Amino acid sequence: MIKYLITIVLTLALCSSCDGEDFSADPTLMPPATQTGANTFGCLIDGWVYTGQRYGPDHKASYYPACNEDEKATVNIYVRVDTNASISFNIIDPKEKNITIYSALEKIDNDQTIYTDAVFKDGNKQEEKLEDGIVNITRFDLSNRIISGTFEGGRMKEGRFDLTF
Amino acid sequence: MKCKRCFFVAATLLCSASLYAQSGTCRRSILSFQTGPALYTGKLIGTAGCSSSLRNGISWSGSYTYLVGNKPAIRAGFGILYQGNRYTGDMPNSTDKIQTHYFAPQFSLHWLKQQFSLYFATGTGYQIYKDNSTVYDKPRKVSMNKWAANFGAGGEYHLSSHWGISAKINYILAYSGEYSVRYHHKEWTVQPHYPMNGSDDISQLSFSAGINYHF
Repeated sequence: MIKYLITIVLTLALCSSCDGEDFSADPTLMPPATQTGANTFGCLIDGWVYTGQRYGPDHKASYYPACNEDEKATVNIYVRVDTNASISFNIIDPKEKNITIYSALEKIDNDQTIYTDAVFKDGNKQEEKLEDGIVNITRFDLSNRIISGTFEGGRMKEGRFDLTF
Repeated sequence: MKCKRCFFVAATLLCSASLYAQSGTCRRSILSFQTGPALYTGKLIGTAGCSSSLRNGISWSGSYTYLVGNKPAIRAGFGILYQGNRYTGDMPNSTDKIQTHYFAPQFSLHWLKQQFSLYFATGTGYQIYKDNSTVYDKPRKVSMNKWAANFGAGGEYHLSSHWGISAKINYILAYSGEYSVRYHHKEWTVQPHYPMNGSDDISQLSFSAGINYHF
């Protein structure tokens, strides 16, 4: 009986933390591009601002190290940008570079970090696959578990994130 | 003979001064229209950008005052004030166009002299606050309507029995704890973390000049 109670309480606590809405965050304003693990995310899709500070969970990035030489490490980013909307993508082989100027997608060379599998789920839970793009990782700190950077590609512009994982 | 002439001149002057003073104080209603620079002294809450130019704006106002009491020098007044303020600011990726409209009943004290008058006015009313901003060229509308209070002081120089030129300094004191923002077909309520009592200062100071009409 106690086990059931603990399970129910933990589930409720987990759900409430997931659905937590931070009313102090204005979702219409882009966060600054920081490198402190501030748990901020923002980008434009078709010119409209989407940000992730208002909605949980706290950790919006997950790091998957490479298991063998043939694999590449991946960081998955999943950010809720509205009650039922989210943006997610995978950063392949994340490396800190801090490039200040973006290159056009067609000029991608082997040294650039890209993101793939970008999906935008809108408020009606309709999933849209977005184009791949370039990520400029300005901080990738495995000891403090912080990843920060800027990204751009296709319909997504002016992207920036400063997340813990 | 010379003494009689002096008495006649003095009596005429006194009589005319008395009539002028009566004409300045016997009229009980004052309509006033003014405009001038305004300064946003509070915190720029809910704006898309925080450019320094956003603090400097313009104000315009109209008021009606009815004077009561029979003392010729000091009178109390009751009336109503409308004051509008506008502030604009541009940043690389955002613009702000703040407009406030303040309506309040007024209580005032007037010190009336022959050619000029001084007054102090205060009141409490409602301030409508709108910020028609853009973020990356997309429209974003902020609304923050609040109760507010005003404190003002001014003076008037009487040009004739009906008309005068006036100047005023007015401070509208307001606090806000939240605002609503409409963007991309959705409306959010935002409650920023404020340092004091769950709200912050959104006050404004204005300096204005204009005309008064007495009737």
